Amino acid sequence: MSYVEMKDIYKVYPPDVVALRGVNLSLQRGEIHSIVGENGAGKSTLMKVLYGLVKPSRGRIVINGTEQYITSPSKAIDLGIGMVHQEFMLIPSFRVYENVMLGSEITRAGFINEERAKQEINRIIEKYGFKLDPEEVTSKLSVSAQQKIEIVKQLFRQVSVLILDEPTAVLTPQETKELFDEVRQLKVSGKTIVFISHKLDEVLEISDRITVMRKGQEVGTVNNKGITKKELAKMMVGRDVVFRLKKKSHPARNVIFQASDISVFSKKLQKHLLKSINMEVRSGEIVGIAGIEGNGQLELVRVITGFIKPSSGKILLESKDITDLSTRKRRYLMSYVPQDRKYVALALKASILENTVMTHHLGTDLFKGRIMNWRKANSFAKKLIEEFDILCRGVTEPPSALSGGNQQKVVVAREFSLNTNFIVLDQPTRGLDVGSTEYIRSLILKMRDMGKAVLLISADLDELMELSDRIYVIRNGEIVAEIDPTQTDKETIGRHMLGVHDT
Amino acid sequence: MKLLKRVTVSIAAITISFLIGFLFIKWQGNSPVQAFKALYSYGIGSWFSFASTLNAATPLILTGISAAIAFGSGVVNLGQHGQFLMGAIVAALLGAYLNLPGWLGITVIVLCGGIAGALWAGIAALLKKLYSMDEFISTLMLNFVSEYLTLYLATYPFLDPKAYVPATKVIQRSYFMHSFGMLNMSFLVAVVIAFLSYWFMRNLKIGYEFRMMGYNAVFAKTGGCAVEKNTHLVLLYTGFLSGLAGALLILGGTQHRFMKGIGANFGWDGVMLAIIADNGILETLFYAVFFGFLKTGGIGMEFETSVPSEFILVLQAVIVMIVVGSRSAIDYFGDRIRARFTVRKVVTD
Repeated sequence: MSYVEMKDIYKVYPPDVVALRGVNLSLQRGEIHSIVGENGAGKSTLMKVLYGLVKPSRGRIVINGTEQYITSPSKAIDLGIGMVHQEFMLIPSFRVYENVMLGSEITRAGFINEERAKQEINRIIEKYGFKLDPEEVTSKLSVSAQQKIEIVKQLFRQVSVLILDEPTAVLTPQETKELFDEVRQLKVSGKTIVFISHKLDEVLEISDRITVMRKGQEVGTVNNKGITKKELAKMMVGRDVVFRLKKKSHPARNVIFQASDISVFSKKLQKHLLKSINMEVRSGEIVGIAGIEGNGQLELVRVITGFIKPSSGKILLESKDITDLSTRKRRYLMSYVPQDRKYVALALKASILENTVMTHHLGTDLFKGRIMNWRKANSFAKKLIEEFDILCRGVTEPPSALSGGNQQKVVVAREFSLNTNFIVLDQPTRGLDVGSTEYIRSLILKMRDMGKAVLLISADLDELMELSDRIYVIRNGEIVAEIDPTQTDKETIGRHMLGVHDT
Repeated sequence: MKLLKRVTVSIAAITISFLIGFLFIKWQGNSPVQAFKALYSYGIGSWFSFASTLNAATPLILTGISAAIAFGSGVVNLGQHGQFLMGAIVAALLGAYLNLPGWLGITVIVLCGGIAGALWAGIAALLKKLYSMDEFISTLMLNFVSEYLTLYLATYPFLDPKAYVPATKVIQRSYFMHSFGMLNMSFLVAVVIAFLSYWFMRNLKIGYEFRMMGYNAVFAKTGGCAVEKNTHLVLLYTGFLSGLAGALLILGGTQHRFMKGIGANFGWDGVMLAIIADNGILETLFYAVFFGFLKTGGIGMEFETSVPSEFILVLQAVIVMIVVGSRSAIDYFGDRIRARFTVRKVVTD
């Protein structure tokens, strides 16, 4: 029998964000169990439910045969479940042992018994082979050592299930190896480790079993025997219904957007986030950017929209040098659908009317001089609602009351009705239902056929393959390949994205 | 829908706080009926008391909309108090030493008072521009500077030796603002400014940008609003409003001179009003008048019954908490109910 059973877990974040849709998960004693999935698949939410940080909307949790209601992290720790978050919760000025015992001090007659706590901590450090000095001051330690403190902290509380939320994201390869050795030690002594990650190599290296999640559901749990990275990736990305949109073929015309030799160097990280990017987008074509998330897409979009300045290189838009222009000045020339619908693309509490006016207010159509022509703006918003089939109760309703699909339609309607020749789309269909996705994709193609130059950044390979005329693959901030999607298959692009050139 | 919700919340909150006040007075062994009667008759019962209420509300209206416009544009100007004092001292000094014919003098002095407030807030804007210092802290700290700067000016260089407390000379008689019956003209000025501000936030291109920054600054910036420049302008404009409040108090109030403690709590009451009004300009106007009513009525209540006028502060605090609390409670529980429906829908899918 499994040690931990999560049965039919649902979670809706108020008001209506569905994070989990009936997930089942079972953890055995003494196994390393990985949970993989794309961003937003629900991995973290599921684990926060188990750790008592998030209250499930529905579902049951059975631990060691008894049903439990985990209402808080301290309840979870009482039940033997601990979690190490991506952000550490340590007091920098404390010594290691002080941080470890903080919150569960061993006391004698009301006084803290430091000696016994130290003994216990030393025992834990020795037993599992952590390289950690309990007397060291926390702020002097490296990130990986601080992570060890967090793990020791959980062991000090005698947890038997330890959840690690993307622990390797902050580690170097050597540190990762060290962590894995420690994790294996933990397993030997009978602890259950839950390892959340989207780095497939690591997952395959360390896990006994792997649960794949997609869009708030578990796709399946597999034993880590003979399964390949490719198969795993396929489960993660899924075989969505592939719509075949009809694409007219016409030759691309003059160059609208051109980036030459763009680099972004981060002083803080001491590395290039973007390295000599050269690309162009012509009128009447859709150019896709493929890549595993976090390989420079974010920085690319921010450089193009003017939120960060490149450390070198030049950006031309309609043969005008825009490298040093502010976002405001650039918006006269470009439409932009940001990735983050709720916090960047919309003002959720303002009205739909006010949301549709944004950026259009730079022009003169909706104004008499400097004075707003609300009547005209009103009919403009109404026209968009009708044209783009936005389901709402009227122009005064705030976007917060709309579904994700309709929110995105508001954004797309606003941006596509700007009279610009260049359109930047950052994950335009992420998290949308099938119907809205299809609709927005068909609009993107329409824009292309109208002769706009479209730059499409997407994590969805199917979407890229279906829409793009050309695809640039980005990895580690560099463009590593330029691909014609009609001549290449998904697997090849995937290999470029991962940087695996075997097979 | 939105309007209806706001009005309902306000009425309900005021009613509930009066009920709580009722119990409080009763609990202390006084007669609530008598106390509220006195509150009514001294606050609103006659033309005389109504005019006093409106006069008491005048500075609150302006400091209130100053805070409301700032917060509603995502700019945390907490310097109403300091900007108010700068406006007041400039008006008091010009009023005492400037020689101009009455009407022209009043106009010039009022504008200069506003400009003094704007420049004082402008220091925060400059610090933000040059050193990206958070206006939240700089405006707050400038309050202390202006508190003691103005006190110094009134105590040493411009002290009126005949006064009992540190104070400047009384301004020239021709600069006293006219009263219609009891109602001082400065109230009308404040109301006109409030409506103008309302109109300009609604209808000007820049007002639209201000409001969108208040909703979501990243959204505004992404959409092409000049967020940095606008932040400076908001600081200047809201500083102007607070300075105006100070100048109008000198010309249209009862003291007609700058004296120690003249700023009272106008600045912070303004911040409180903006919070209760959820940064709505017309709501701020309404609540300013309402608080003016409580202030004047409270004095009468103390006069007639043994309920101290400090009781009004309790009542104000209760109103603030209930209005703000019920507003977020409605959203919170509304979202929870919707989430429940969504779960049901997802499960049956």
